[in-house]
Amino acid sequence: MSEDIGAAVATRLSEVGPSVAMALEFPMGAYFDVLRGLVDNFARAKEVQTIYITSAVPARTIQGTLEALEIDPSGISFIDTISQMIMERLDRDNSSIIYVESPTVLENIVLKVDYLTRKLKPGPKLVVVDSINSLAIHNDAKMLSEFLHVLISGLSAKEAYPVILSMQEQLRPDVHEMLSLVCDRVINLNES
Amino acid sequence: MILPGKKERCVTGIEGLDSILGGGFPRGSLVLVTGVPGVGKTSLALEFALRGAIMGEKSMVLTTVERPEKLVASVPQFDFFDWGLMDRGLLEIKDIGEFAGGGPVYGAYEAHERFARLGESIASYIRENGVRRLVIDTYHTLFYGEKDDATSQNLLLSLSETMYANACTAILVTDASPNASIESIIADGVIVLGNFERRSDLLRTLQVLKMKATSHSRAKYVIDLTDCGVLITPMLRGGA
Repeated sequence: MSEDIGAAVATRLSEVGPSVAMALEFPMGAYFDVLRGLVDNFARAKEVQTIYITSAVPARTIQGTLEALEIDPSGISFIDTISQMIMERLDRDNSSIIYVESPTVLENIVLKVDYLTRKLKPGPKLVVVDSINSLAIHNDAKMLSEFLHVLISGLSAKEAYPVILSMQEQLRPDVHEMLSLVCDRVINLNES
Repeated sequence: MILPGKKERCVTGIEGLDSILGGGFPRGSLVLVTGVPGVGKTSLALEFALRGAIMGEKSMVLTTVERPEKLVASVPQFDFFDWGLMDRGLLEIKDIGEFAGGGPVYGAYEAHERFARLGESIASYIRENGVRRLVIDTYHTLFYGEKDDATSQNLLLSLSETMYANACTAILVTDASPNASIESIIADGVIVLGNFERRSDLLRTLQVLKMKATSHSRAKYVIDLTDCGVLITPMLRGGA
């Protein structure tokens, strides 16, 4: 079951190709499998660079999680929107992490993605938003839908793979509806 | 000379700004970039000059309050900055005092005649050297201690004519309030950089208030000052 989810994520991404915004809805228990599917089964295997926007936990925690899963996080560029807000110690020497002061400054997240797409070497990029649930804690649905629309539109022109993560247990109906509006595909991994 | 009906563009090279302007400044415009300290006026103006030089347009930056080398050191280290542009004469960063017979200015001008000579001196240099982009950073500090507003307005009129006649596009960095200044009326364009507070967040913003001879967005945008240059994205409205 677990390996199936990781493989299913990679397969779905490969099938749809770039410039298609995909929302992945899954149970919390499948989080690590989804993570593996995205950054290992898909991005590493296909040599796609990853930009990982984290708003739930600090980027260093995700890096630690990936290491625990025996996935090398060194090629992943993180945009950490939560550490500064919760006054976590910032690892300014870590060149793979860019900090945004809070998950409410959605425009600055778009700007940091733009910045990274310019700084990273040319080629396709996987852009992961982890997660829409945590962003929804800090922003209303209208603001979020506008943010995703701007982010996804910009990425489509750059042939990136935008992926929005969504934990089913925490998903509000209005946020689910919003994902259906702004994303090209909403995939329920329970059904795949 | 720009012929009527022709709207040749001066592509700024700042991607988001060119998009807002529909392809760049109309060539020969004189544009005020205004705003409170620390919002990125100098960064934007320097990038305009630098991008122009990279595109092969001779660009000149005139400083009024600090040494040229200090000006360069005080802005983000643009990763596209190429010192070779200066060696090849495509980019010049000078103290405006050089156009006033030597020595720094720092508010030293008091008489209309001296400012008139400064305007003529800059015009001659632009004409004789084929300068296509001019930045003056900052314009109003030239007039500290000068009580007669007409002095700065006359120099602005003179510069405006120079820009138009020589198809040179200029950015004048200024702290003046765009709502109340005669300078904003004289200038072809006004771009306001500012801070916008939303809940407890403070965003750097950019808004093109005025740009003659082109249709342009009047919306507010959020900017970031980076080593890639000034990055721009629409300000979210949240359905408001």
